[in-house]
This record gives sequence, C-alpha cells and structure tokens, in this order.
Amino acid sequence: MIKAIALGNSFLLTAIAASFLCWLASLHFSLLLFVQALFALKLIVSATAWLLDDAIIAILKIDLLQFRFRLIASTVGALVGVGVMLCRS
Amino acid sequence: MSLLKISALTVSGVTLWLAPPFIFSRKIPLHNFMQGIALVSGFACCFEARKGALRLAKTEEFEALKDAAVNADLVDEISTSVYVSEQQRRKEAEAILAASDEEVEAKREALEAIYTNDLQPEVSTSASEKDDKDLELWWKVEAAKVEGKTQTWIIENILGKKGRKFSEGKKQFEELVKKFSEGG
Repeated sequence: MIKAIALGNSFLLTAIAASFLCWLASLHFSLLLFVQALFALKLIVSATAWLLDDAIIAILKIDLLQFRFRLIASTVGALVGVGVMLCRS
Repeated sequence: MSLLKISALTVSGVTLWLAPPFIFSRKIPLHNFMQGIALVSGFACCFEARKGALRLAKTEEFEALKDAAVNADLVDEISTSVYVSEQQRRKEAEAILAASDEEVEAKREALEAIYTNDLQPEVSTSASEKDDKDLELWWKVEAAKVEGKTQTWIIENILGKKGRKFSEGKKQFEELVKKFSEGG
C-alpha cells in the first residue's frame, strides 16, 4: 500500500514537472524552444536507455522489468503532464 | 509521517496540479502566475508525500525483519532445548541399560513409588472435602458464638449431636476449636 503510494507520487511528480515545463513554455517564445529541446532530449535519452538497457541495469543494479517500468512510467507521466496543459481552458 | 498525512499531501498535490489549469479563468488577475505557483506547490506536496511514503515503507520493512528475526530466534531456542533434553534422556537410558540388575530394580522401585504417590489424588481430595466441611461447620459455630449461643446449643443444633451422641459432639466441637483457633 505504502509502496504503491510512493510509486503513484513518483508518477505525479513526473506529470507535474512536465506541466510546469509547459507552463514555462507558455510564458515566452524562447522558453517554448527551450522546453521543446528538453522534451526532445528526454525522448532521445529514453530511447537510448531502452536500447542500452542491459548495460544500464548492470550499472544501476536494478531488475530489467523494473527499469522498463520506470522508463515507460516516466514517458507516460510526461505525456499526461503535457496533455493536461494542452487541454486547459 | 502517518499514512493520513501522506494521503492528504498526495490529494493536495493532485488538486494543485489539476484544478488551476481548468478552474482559473483569464478574468482572474495574475492567473498565469498563480497557475505556476499552484504547480510548484503541487510538485512540493507530491515530493514530500513520496519522501514520507518511502520512509514509512522502510520502517515497516524494518519492523517485519525484526519480527522475523525474533521468530527465528525463538524457533532456534526451542529446537536447541528439545535437542538438549533428547540427548539427556538418551544418556539416562544408556546409563540404565549399562547399570546392573540391582540398580535397575532400585530405580524401578523408586519410579513405582513416585507413580504410586501420583496416583493418590482421591485420598487428598477426600481429605480436602473433609476440611471444607469442617470449615463450613466452623463458620456456623463462629456465627452462633457471636450471636451468644451456648456450647450445648451449638453441639445440639449445629453439629446435630443430641442425646447419646452429645459426648461425641462435644469431642467434635473441641476438635474444631483446636483445629481452627490454632490455625488462625
């Protein structure tokens, strides 16, 4: 139960951070470019981590399943955060 | 940090994240700034809730480990004591087997004496029943004494020894007095 709450909060943290970045992007055009670059970087890092998962799990010493779960959860969290800000009134 | 506090922080975080973008209208002054503040607050709430939840999970894990260690220790202690007593019994049995017939006979007699004593609870039960009866009678006698009744009245009415049995009653009365007055 407690671990589930901790996991849920990790997901929320990612989503809120993504929303905050979207909010920053809405302030100025140059910030929009910066945030777009950040999201692109995140995408590249995630894709690379997915490809190099064996090497990364050896360094981080975590389970492969757990590593993939974290990657997917962070991506989904970021997408949800961005989606919330795009859907606002 | 309790579960309630963690839950409250999580709910606050979600509310601060989702409510402002959909509720704040552009008519509210500084709505964009307030939205940013709400997002930062929501992030802080979720961060704190996550930290507390991880700490609580670690504490629970530690408690579970402690319980497991105590149980294992207990099981180990019990098994050790069982092993020791088994070894002791084995040694005793070996000693009996190694002993001469006379010693075996002596031990058998000793054991028989122990078991014979153990098998006499009925005698002690009947003795204790007699004691209970005597005590009950003594209470009645005491009550009669307090009321100012004479010894003769007590023997005749409480002990129920009238006529030819009066001397027997007197003897019983004296025994009661001796038994319970001296006993306290």
